[in-house]
Amino acid sequence: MTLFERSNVIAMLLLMLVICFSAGAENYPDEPLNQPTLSTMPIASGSFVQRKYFKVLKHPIKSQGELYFDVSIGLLWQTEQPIYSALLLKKSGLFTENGTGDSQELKGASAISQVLLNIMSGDSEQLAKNFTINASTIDHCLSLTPKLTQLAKIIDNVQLCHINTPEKNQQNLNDINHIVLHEHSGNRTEITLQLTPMTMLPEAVRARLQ
Amino acid sequence: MRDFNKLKKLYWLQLLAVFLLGGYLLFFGQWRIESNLLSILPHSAQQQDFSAAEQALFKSKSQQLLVLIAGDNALKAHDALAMKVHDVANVSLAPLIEPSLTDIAEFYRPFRHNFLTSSYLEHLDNSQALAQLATKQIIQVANPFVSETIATAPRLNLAEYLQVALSNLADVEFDQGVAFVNVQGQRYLISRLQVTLDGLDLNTSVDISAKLQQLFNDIRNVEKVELIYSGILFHTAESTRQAKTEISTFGVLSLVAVLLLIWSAFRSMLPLWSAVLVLSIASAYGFIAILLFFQSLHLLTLVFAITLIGVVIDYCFHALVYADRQKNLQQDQKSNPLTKPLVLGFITTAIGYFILVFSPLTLLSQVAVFMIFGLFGALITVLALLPQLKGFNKITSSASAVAFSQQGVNVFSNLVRYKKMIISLLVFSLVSLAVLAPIKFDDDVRLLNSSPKWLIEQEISVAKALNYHHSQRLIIKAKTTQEMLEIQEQVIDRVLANQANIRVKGINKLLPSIKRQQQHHALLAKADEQGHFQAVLALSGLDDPVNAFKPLTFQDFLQGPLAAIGESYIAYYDTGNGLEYASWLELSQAPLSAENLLWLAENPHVSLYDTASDVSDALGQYRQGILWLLASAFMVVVVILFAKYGLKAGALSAIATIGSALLALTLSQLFSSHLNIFNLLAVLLIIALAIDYVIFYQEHGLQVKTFLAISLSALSSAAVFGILVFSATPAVSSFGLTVMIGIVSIFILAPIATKNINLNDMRSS
Repeated sequence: MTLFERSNVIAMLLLMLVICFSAGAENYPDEPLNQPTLSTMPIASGSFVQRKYFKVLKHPIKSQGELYFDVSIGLLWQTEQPIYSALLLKKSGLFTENGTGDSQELKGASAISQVLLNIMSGDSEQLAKNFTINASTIDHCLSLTPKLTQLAKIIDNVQLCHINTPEKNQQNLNDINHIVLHEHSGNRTEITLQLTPMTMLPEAVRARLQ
Repeated sequence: MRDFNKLKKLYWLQLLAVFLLGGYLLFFGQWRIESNLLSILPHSAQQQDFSAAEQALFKSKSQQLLVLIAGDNALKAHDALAMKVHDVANVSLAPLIEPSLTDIAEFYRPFRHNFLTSSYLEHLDNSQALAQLATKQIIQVANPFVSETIATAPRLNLAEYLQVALSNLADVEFDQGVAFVNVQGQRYLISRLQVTLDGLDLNTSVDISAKLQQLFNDIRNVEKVELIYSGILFHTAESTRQAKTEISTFGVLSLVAVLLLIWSAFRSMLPLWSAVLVLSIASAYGFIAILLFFQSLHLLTLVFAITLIGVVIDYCFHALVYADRQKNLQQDQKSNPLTKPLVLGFITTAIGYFILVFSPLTLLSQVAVFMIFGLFGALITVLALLPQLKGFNKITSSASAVAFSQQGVNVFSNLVRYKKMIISLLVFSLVSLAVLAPIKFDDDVRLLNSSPKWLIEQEISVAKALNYHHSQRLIIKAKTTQEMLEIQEQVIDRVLANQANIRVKGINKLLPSIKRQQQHHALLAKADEQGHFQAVLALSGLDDPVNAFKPLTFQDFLQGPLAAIGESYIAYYDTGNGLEYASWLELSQAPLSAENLLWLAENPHVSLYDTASDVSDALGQYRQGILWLLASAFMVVVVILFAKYGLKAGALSAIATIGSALLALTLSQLFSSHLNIFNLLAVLLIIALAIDYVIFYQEHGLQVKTFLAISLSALSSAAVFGILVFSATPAVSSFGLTVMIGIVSIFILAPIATKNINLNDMRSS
């Protein structure tokens, strides 16, 4: 089975960070109205569409799949197209899973896991510690600059945006549903999310995350 | 008379020569003091063969200290340590450096077709599988390896290869330039310190250790953090401190005990001064001999050497007890009643120690040389110098000592009547003990570790946090780097073929052998020719023609961004017959199987670097040798005693000598859970001492003077060796315990074995 890069994990974690960013919403009461808001969503499922833009490529590389998370147990990021692959963030570490269910631990990403756990548990102090948060020049977007060297080595900047889509992913129109990860190399990854809050993850997913 | 004057002159001349030699060696000789126990323990032949490789690979690491800090203020504490450590002389910060991925990708770019992971190798003939492998990488959200290499290596084989190779080495993570590890959710920041002075003397080690520990304590108290540390320096400092304390404490206690005994037996100053003179000269002889024959003096040698007091004082007691019989000594040295038993006694004790001179344990060689020369100095001083002291021949035993001795002779005279019963009891006890508690030896050198428990616990905590607590290290050496890298790959392939769950950490992935690079290059080129990479290249639409093979060499590697990692895994050294190269591998997650160990043991290029088990094995082999030596010594004792004193007295003497030795060994086991080689070595000494007692009784009979001299000798020896029982060094305490029990045993058994009893000796003399 192919190993997943730690960087992928980092990006997933960033994504989770974004999803759960709502925990820190109360910290920014003076944000202008045209910026997206963050709301608490400890358990959710949804789908994603990802487009990777490489400087050397003319066209982006598109992939899509499903995701599940529960801040108390972890995250499942499952790519369905163009090929199957799964990433699991558990309490015990980070794992990749192949089509037959065999999983392999990805060592060395524990620091990020810890940061993410702090964010997921609504630790706004930790969130502010790990990112410098600014209003973006783009409407309906926030700009996050990683403070954590591990992230900063890979990611130059993260944009958290709300784009109006025919299907609203949440009750609140201003919720974040579009993430752009800008790398230092000039490459970027755009992820569009559709999330639905849940009270409990499906049992099968919970079992995979245990 | 003329002979005696000649002897006197000779004595003074040799004393002058010895002291001049001592002065020269002390001030101009190349000697140093050591306290590392491992440096004086034996090494197996294989370890000796790899000692240069070990030295080259691990010398600088042995001078490194690791400090792990956890807690809310860990970063502040880490920064405080970085700032204040410069105040400690001879210690500097050796930061862990995180290489730049851009530099790494750029460095490997020219060699991109030489590296294939097992996943790529497995699917080289399957276009679809290769495309899936590449797709999985390319769709990952922000893969820096893909980002850095896709433009120049669009097959993405290099991206996956670098990711696998670097993650394999990455137990340590970095945050804002600070290295750290996570242990059960707790983040420990890592500081690496380097002792900058080469060849630290022990006092400097103690000084640095004390200053660092003070600094650590200050940081703990101010920042309220958990701070743990490890490093050989701390063990050296603790061993030094402990040995110094024991040398001074035990030395003073032994001397006081012995002087008290002399005072109680003779009640005058001359015997005290005589004893101090003999002890001083004996110690000087022993010390000068060590300086002459060894380049380093181990502190533990001095702890063992305290026993010299106990043996030398025997000579003094005999000389003092028989002082009044040396009135006419100046006329006729041959009439000295002490000459024969003392010289015989010296010869037997010296033979006992001489056997240890050739021991693979440098410690024992040093102790043996110290004792032989010390005893020789004492012997000639007792025979040639003491009788010249004014008033020496007027020394008499105190009335209370004589009364005590008289009582003792009476008691033992009565006991002699029951000698059959006593001997039967001894044999029965020995047999019973042998059946109920069979003698068991444990050669594990870790049981001899004298480091304090708190330091060992810290060492274990650090090892666990950094994930090397139960790891095993392999050293690979060869004449060329390429041969070494090829052997390293063979070793890994073989080990993993038998134990796929073992994790191998080493330089092997980042720097494969040229042979392997060429194989991978050829496989990739062939797959490319067959069109298996077309789908992969189509993902990016980029082209990457496979060029002619260009190897990544060791020299190239040392010029690259991963040179520091390379230098920590590979070393080269001059063997005298040219350069040799060595590398090491860390194996974890499972211990090597017996099959793998056997295979590795047969490979002359590979050695399992496990100092503890290696030394333990060597100790075990040495113990077997000592057991055979003991058996031979028992035989020699029996033959000598039978030949000298006849069948009956010889048998009794042999039973007393060998019985006391065996009793000491079996009783020692009752006091401690296991026996080690030092208990066995103590038995050798017991035989050497016991035979002296037996010879004295057989020569002089059980009489008041002999009993007094032997009682004083036994009491002083038991006190001196008994004090060693309280040593914190298990080797010293085991040795002391067994010798003490042996001395008490022979003190009781030797008079019972004697053939002559003379109750009127004191009165008649």
